[in-house]
Amino acid sequence: MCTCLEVDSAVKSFKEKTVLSDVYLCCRPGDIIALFGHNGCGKSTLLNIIFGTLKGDRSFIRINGKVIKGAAFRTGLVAYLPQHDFIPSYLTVTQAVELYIPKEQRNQFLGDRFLFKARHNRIAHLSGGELRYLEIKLILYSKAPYILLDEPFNGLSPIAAEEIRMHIAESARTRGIILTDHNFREVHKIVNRIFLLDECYLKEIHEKEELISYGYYRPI
Amino acid sequence: MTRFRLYLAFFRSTLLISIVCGALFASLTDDFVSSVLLFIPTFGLGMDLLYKELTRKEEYFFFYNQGICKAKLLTATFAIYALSCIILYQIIRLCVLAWRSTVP
Repeated sequence: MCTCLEVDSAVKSFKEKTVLSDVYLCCRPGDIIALFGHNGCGKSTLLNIIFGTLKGDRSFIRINGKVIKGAAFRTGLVAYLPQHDFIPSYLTVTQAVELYIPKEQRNQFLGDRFLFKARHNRIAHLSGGELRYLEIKLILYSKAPYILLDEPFNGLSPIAAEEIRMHIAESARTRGIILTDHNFREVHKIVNRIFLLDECYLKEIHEKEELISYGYYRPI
Repeated sequence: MTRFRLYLAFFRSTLLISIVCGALFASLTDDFVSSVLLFIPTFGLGMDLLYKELTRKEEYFFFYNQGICKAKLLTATFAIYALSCIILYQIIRLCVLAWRSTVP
C-alpha cells in the first residue's frame, strides 16, 4: 500500500475551455510540492478537485491506498488553505483557535509574536496579513496528513513569510504538502519537488533551468 | 467534543437572521407564539442559509477542514432548532395551562 495522496486522470473543463487534461500527481509525507503555472491555468481547480469542493469531469483520488469516493475533506485526511479568507468573521482569534487546536498546543500557538497581540480580536478586525498568517498556521497545525496551500504567501510581510516557510518545512517532516504561489523565487527555497501546469498538462520539473523556457527566471 | 462545538458555532451564527426573519413572518399570522416557533427553524433558517450562500460561502471551508460537510451542518442546525422549538413550545403550553387553571 502506498502511503501517499494520489490524484489520477483528473480532467476538468469549463464550458469549451479545458483546464486539466489527464493530470496525475502523487504526494508522499515529506514532500513539499510546488505547483507553478500562469494565472487561470488550473492550479486552484486542481487543489479544489483534490480537496473535494469541486467535481472533476473525471478524477480519481486515492489516499494511503484507499480510493476516495466522495469529497476527500470528509475523511479528515486533507486540509486546504483556499486563496480567499475562510475563518468566519464573527469568531475571535481565540475562539477560532479553540475550535481547531488541541488544548495542550493552544498556548504555544497563540504565544506566536504575530498572533499574541491580536488574540482577543474579532476575525473581522484583523488586517489582511494577520488573518492570512492565522489561517496558514491553523491549517499547518491541523491533524490532516496532507495539506494543500493555495497562494499561502499572498499578503504576508517578508518577515511573516519567512516564519511561515519555517512552519511549512517543520510541518513537512511528517506530512505531504502541495502549494501554489506566484512568488516562485520564495517558494523555491522550501520545496523539494516542482510541477508546472502548462496547457492543461502537469509536468515535473527537475532542474530550475527547465523553467526558463516557460518565462520563469528570465535572465536580465 | 470539538466537533460538537463546531456545530454549535455554526448554529450560533444563524441565530440573528433566523429569529428576526422568523419573527417578522410570524407577525403576519394570528397565532404569533406557535407561528414563530414554526417559522424560525424553517423560513428563518432558510433565509439565513440563503444569506450565507450569497455572501459568506467561503466560510464553509472552516468546517470542511474539520471534515464537516455542508449537509451535516444544515442537518445539525435544523435538529438543534427543531428540538429547542419543540421544548419551548411545550414549556409555553404548560405555562398557559397552569395559568388557566389558576384563573377562575
